[in-house]
Amino acid sequence: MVKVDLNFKRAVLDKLVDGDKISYCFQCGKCNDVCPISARWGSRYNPRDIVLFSALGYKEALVNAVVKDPFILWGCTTCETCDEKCPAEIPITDIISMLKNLAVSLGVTPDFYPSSALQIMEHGMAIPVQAAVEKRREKLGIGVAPEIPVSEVQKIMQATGIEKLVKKEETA
Amino acid sequence: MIEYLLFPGCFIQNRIPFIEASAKFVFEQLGIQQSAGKFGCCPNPVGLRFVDEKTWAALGARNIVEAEMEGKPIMSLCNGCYQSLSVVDHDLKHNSKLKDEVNGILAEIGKEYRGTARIEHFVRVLHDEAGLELIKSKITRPLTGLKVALHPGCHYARPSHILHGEDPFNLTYLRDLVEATGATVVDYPQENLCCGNGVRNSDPYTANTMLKAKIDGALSAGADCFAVNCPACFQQMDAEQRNLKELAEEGQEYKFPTFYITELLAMAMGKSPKEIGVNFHRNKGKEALGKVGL
Repeated sequence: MVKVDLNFKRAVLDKLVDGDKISYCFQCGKCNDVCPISARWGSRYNPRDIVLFSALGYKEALVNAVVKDPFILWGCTTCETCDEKCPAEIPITDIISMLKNLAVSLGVTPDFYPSSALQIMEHGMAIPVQAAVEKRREKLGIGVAPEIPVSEVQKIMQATGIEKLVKKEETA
Repeated sequence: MIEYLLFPGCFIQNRIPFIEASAKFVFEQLGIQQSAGKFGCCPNPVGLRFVDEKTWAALGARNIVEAEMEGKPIMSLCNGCYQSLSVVDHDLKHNSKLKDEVNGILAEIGKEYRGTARIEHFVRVLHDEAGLELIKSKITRPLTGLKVALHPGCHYARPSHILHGEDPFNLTYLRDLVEATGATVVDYPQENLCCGNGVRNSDPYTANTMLKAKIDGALSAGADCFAVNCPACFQQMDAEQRNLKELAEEGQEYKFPTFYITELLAMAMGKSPKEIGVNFHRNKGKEALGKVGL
């Protein structure tokens, strides 16, 4: 028996009624046709199914599938070709991004994503300043990098609660 | 001409600053005014956004507020930063609940998002504000004979209902800029294919197959090099070629050069490759540049 999660379904439908227009999927499969990842992996990466399961509120089934093979979600390269080619103008990549947030909160994520968030929290940027690069910048005549507002970035990340989310990841 | 706040992005600023050097030289030649802003992470549209969209929006909004406070538009040197800032700006303008939430967070640092800043990609500033005529008038050493395969990158023009300007699958600005240097653009079927950077952190093998497809396509079309306008694509297409060994046919060695459009412009405007740090590329493109006497 497939479980329907109504809150999850509502969150997805909010994405579809995104202020500009109402979008709805009629399962034509254009997203799969134009997807460079589907072209390489066939049904293992299937944006049409992701949209269908999301719109129906099949959160549990989706989560179970992602736990079994994270690639079915994390295989998306975010090229946004599907969004552009979708005849119903479904914001597919936005739905995938939302699902990735869900997967991270459940700990089903490649290491890069939580560790990159920690880098930003520590340095204010995903890629921090390096002494060797600072020297190179001076040699190239562009001077040292401007100061990064680290404390403001940290305060924002504390206020949104992401700190707790990724630190939990780190110790898990 | 108005002054921009330059948004180089963390990768150019802190890893491949030679691209910033070439860009600043080109801006100076064209009279494009720019200064530094107090920016943090954009944040990465294929990184932090996937961890928590609310944090992504709040940090993006913080950067936009810096531009609002200075009363200057942002000019990004990076597709990813450009897309993040533009999409966050769009979302905040169209979703009042999100805007209230983000402003509640920004209140912690005494800031407020209003939605008054303009966000631009440097390619558009070069093409539409400086203009092709001015650019051509500054070319002293045309790259005549250099055959260039284009890679504008996904986040330059998608989502197209937010990133204003070009038809996302028939992009012409990068083409016009390459042609302005005197080089020849060669078409190849994979021009709009993603470089693979976006999936690298989840599945490097898939990322490598995409890169290989692009290089194979460009080589078959007779290109000498790629031209790009995104540092994430640059990194994938230049540095990650070292990972193609296992996928290579027997005897095939991947050493295909990639140039930022600002590097091609700077060299066509008289800079030597060394002066703008082309020697810091993993694939230095000596053969390609040798063709045009550089």
